[in-house]
Amino acid sequence: MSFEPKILAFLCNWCSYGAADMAGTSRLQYPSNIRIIRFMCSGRIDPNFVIEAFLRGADGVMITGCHIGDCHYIDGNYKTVHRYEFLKEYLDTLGIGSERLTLEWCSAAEGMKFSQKVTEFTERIRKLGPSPIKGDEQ
Amino acid sequence: MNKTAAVVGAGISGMQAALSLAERGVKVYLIEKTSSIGGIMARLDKTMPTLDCSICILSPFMLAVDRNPMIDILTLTDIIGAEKSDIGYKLTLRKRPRYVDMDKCTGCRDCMSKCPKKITLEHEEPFGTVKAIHFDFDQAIPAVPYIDAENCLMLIKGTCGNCAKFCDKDAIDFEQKEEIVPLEVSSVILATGARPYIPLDRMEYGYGRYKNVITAMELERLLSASGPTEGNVVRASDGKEPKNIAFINCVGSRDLKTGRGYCSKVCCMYGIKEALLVKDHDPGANVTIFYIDIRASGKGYEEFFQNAKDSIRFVRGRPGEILEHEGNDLLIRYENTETQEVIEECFDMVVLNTALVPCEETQQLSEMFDISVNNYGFFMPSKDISCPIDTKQDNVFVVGACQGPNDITDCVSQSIGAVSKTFSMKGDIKQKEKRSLPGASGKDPRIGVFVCHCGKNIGKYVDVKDVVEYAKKLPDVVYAEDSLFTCSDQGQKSIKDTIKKEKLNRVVVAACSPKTHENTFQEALIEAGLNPYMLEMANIRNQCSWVHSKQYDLATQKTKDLVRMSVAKARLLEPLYQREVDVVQHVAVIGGGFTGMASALEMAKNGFRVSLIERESKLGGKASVTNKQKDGTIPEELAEMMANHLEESNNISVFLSSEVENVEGFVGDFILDVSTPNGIEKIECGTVIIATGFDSADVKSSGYTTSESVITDEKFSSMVNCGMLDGKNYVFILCVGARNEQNPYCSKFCCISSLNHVRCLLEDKPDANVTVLYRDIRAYGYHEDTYREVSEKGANFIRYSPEMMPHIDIDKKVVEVYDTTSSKTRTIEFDYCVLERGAIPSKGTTKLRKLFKMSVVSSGFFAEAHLKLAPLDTALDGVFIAGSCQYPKGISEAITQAVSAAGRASIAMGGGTYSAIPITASIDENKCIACKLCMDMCPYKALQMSENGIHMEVITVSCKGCGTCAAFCPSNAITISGFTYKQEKEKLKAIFEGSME
Repeated sequence: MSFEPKILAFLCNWCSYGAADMAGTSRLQYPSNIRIIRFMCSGRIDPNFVIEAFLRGADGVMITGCHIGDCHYIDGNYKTVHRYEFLKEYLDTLGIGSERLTLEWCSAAEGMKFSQKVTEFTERIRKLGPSPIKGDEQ
Repeated sequence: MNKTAAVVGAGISGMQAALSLAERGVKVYLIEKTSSIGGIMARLDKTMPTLDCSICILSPFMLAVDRNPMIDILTLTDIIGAEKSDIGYKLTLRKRPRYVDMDKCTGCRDCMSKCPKKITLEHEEPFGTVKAIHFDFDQAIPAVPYIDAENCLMLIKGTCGNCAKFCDKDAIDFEQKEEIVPLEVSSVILATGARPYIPLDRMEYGYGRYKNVITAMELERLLSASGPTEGNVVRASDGKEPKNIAFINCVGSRDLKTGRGYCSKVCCMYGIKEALLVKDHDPGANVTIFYIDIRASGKGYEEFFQNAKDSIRFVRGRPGEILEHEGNDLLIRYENTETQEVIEECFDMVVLNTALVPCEETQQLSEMFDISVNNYGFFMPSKDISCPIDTKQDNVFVVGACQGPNDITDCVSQSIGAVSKTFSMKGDIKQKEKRSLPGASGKDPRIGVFVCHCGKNIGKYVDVKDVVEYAKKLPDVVYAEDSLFTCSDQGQKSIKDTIKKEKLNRVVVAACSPKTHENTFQEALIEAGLNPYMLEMANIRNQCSWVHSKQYDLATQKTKDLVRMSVAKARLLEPLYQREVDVVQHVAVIGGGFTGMASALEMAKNGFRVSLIERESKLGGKASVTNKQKDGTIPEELAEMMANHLEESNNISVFLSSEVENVEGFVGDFILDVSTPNGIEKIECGTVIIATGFDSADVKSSGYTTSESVITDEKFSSMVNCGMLDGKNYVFILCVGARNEQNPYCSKFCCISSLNHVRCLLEDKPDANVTVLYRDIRAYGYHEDTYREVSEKGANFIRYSPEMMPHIDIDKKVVEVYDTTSSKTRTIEFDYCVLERGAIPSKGTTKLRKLFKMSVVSSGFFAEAHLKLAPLDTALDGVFIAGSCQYPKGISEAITQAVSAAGRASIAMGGGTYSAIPITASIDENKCIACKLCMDMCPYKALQMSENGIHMEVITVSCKGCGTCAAFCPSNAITISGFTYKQEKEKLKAIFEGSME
């Protein structure tokens, strides 16, 4: 059986969750590997959540938020960018690999972009294969 | 004296009006002639162009109307008399019997299963039947069936009576009689809607004679999961799925033969929608639409049309005749006006896209209230441009499709506009009552899981029954069920009953998006005595069934995962309580065109202080570049009059040559830094109305340049206004800088304003040679009359194709155009060639979008909270949009939206407080190490050091709940209510606990 990656996505309530909803109303098909957790702001995404996801068995993690300058909470997504850079380094250090994490900006009107980014990221992780630390948590 | 209002008609317009009035504390009597509220929208499968499930977005609305204590719903009721009184109107109502006791009936439907008499409902013949005791549609409200007296065996012959025998509640009452009831109200909003034309007198199409010729409304019922065929599109003749379907546009509209010269405005779009839905049901089906012009003039419509071209065949031509063929197939004879060929083609089903026509009672009501109707039989507002919803009676308003074909968005705008005008009339408004939310109940979690089929939107793509069985096995789940529509009255009743019966203290609803339906289900929890924050939603529709619709097994598996994730979080939910925020009683209106001025005047009438901010040195926006309107209004004069009213008002401050430079704060207390000629002014306001209009597209994007004889629409208008035109030959080129690669959307108003230009020109110079080069003439609604008028007066219309834009030779003063209807290249001389430009978002829009962090749609205009049901709201509480900054539109529509936005702002500000969602940060003093990192990270300065200096504390009123502080806290001392670390971690863990293979 071919490898089906497990992908976790963190979405902000205002823009990217709206984009995911719109992908739905527009019936834009994308791979079913993704599971979504909603936060009010991408700035809320504690690095612990990302690490936890990989420890639990995620093969890839996607973070999405409002476009830079459009954050509902003024500048939460600037903090997300910094955290993303830090997390990528950290994932390399841990041997998980920074390519398993991605950050995308989607406005509430960008259902198409959301579905495309999910499709691309799923394909990327599918090619990378299972997360190297999978099973380590047991 | 408290204000009271009668709203007549309970379709989307009437319900919107009733709910908005009640929100601000006005007592409403919602009068409906049928047995249920909901109107046409409740019978639609989907809405265009977003393809939202119609009943799903409407159900929460209907329930909100039903549960609002300020609204009395009077169904099966007609107005039979009206006379003026001291406070407004004395109405005489006739209440027809339902024969079912509304207090006793529980909506169990046992009676319906026992009734022997089958009947068919309007638009559902011959596909399905209901019983003589029935609901008009599944989600009807009140959720009490009624007996069709003309078909009930007991009422006609005195036999049967099964329903009464089998009703446990003793709710059937054959003795009910018609009642005549008086009602006195201070204002009346007529929202009686329109009805789909029944094309029996269009003999050539054979409707009524040929079994497989149906109307679009009938197809809509077939498509609907709760319709007569449960969502299966079948032929009436043999029950087979049609494979080759034709849609014919303009049946009963743009048709002087049947006396309906107007364009019915909505049919092009609903036709495309239904065509796409047919394709969605059966991807193998071939679908053809016959059209004259595709009038995709509305927000997102052109894009919807362009996308549809991939899967739908569009043929330009109006079929002359349909003949029945062997096996009840249908032969259509038509001329393709693009190839000039006469063709006969066979189809196995034909759908007639019929017009909206006035309801029967329109005429009677117009006589009763002494208001006008137009020559097509729709209500006529007193002044089309400046008061599009007013009538000649001060306290009677006409809104929605009863004044002409209107889409849902326009109906909603008009309704809230009438509401605003009701607010500003004399009389008092009852103050809102504050309510306290229920607290925690029960110690150990007892979770109920409610899985929605959403008609076929989930049920068709996911094994819902399997999901329910799975949910029953999850920890702490004591109950799980599925329902056709969980958001319907029945669905919610089941949630409420189960909460009580099973002592549930947490609820998981697996359905659609919390962004649209969380409030609805929270209300159900409150009514059952649970705190509304004990609800968790799993978005199994938008995130699963709709986006994995070709992978049944995977979608079912994912649905289980989503339910498991929600149950995991639900186990840790805690009650939360709303916060009341004071609202500054001052509104800022940004933009001083027609829209901004109308909003400002309306807000002042409603008793609020207003600051109007305009970047130019004078008010009026684009008024001076518009010509005399059809109703005789001269826009410049109207603008001047409005500007004078603004100046006279003591409540309005006008800031000219001023711009907003910075925005702080949230609903209730915004602070705008406004740069004025006298320096920076700080404006503190509770709400903001944005009305920044549009700019014109650049002619260069269509490859043109202007000269003395090649002029823009704006230049032409001012030349007409000044009487400076001296030529004889005029060419107008439409869609300049519109519907092209750069601006793919349709700007909506330019066809209309171009026709107005031509009309004014021909009035001034009847002998002028006028040629209009167009792609589609989008003369929607009554603008069709203008189109016909100028055609009759000699304006020559030539259709061009965007691949071959007309070529202008400035030196020779000729235009070369390839005429697609005669397949010839024509050369036309001109003295003036007018470039009719499309619209782009204005500079102000682009700037404010950044300052307010607002979303825009792909065309760059502001995104509304919901295209259909909340066109004036934005994602930002307390910020409203109106006029052309939302989407390009004409003066009349812009003014309607302006008044309507004022209505929304008045509701938000009325009562002086605003309930904010209780998602905030809190700090565990014992864990906090007082590092102040959170203080640095908080965008709202909502954290401070405690007085004793050993830990941080949250200033709750300032906190917006984004959670950025929590993500940075090194000692995990910060909790975000509703999204705690523990809750989200459990949700995350749950993803990997099941088999996500």
